[in-house]
Amino acid sequence: MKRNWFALATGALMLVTVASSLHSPWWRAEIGSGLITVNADPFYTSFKVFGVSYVIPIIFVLNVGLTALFVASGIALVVYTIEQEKGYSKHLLSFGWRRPLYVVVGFVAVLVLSLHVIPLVVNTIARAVEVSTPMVPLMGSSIIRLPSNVLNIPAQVSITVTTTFTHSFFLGVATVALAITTRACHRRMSSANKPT
Amino acid sequence: MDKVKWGLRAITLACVLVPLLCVTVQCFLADDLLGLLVPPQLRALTSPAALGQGGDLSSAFVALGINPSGFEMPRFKDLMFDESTSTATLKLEITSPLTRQSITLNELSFTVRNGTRSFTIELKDKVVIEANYTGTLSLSFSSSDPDALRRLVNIIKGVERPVYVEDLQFSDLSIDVNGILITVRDLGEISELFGGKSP
Repeated sequence: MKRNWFALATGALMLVTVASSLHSPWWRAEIGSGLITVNADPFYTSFKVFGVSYVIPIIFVLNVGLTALFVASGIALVVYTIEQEKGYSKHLLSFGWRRPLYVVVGFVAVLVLSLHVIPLVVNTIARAVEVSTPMVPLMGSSIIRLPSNVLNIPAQVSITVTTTFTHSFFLGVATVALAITTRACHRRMSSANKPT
Repeated sequence: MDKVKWGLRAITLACVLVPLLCVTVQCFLADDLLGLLVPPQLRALTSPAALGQGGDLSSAFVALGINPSGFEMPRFKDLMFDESTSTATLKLEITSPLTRQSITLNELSFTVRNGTRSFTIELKDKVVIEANYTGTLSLSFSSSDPDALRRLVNIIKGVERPVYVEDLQFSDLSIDVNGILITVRDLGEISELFGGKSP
């Protein structure tokens, strides 16, 4: 029986993606030159203000859960490659291949939603402040201008914001592509093995 | 086969629910549900102890990377003009307000006007104030008109007092600190800025 080596590659890449995320977050926003940094990542989300790292407990536990699930899915795909002839292997594939897709799509959706929802919340709570929507671009740099009535000084204050997707995110996207290929390969192999 | 299927479903549920339940139950038992949303360092600030009920607010500031005694204005130490390099050096006594983050002064420039005549003064090199630094900070300035800069240094130090001194105006101040750009169009007259020190 031919083996679906794409599954092995996907499983391995999933584990590499998790390891990479711990060093480099998927998306990073830098406000000022390192004054405030937001590290958004499905496996470890944190923010840094004046050099001090902060983690929101509820997001941290969701990250831990997602990391465990992602690693389990990667392992499932590796086991699927080894035990491909077993009857239960299709369950392992089904468990593993969708995970990267869900995580990447979910991550981008939450990120885009946050950039649009947070300004609305801020503008509602603090009426003196006017935050543009979206707050910052998904990728690139922009300048946030603080209204002078907030600071009550005759000066214009503007802050440079730089946002970027790091290599970890693109590793995640590559994992999705490989996972879809794994699924397609499995379907082709299944139809080829069916008795005519 | 069904065992594997159910086993995988159990793993999915366990991965999501176990960490979530652990932290939720912990916060619930401690009667601190806000602890789910607020980082522990910030919780220290909002705790009753820190809110003026005998708490130590300065230790909370330290945890946030802010020097509790660092909100002091820089104190003037010295100002001199170097003829050989045509630069003015301002020395200030400072205490960095941040304990874990360096402060970088990327740009500082302003324009001095005397009627129709004007010249710009700008910071020669960017200045980095290391985290938790206390000591003397040297700022070197250059100008498009070095002679005017020398005269300005002398006026501020009180060495010279030309007749046009009351008409000198500062404008177009631009400061870039760690990517935060502050611009002020009009700073007023030199006598207003330096008060009693001005000639």
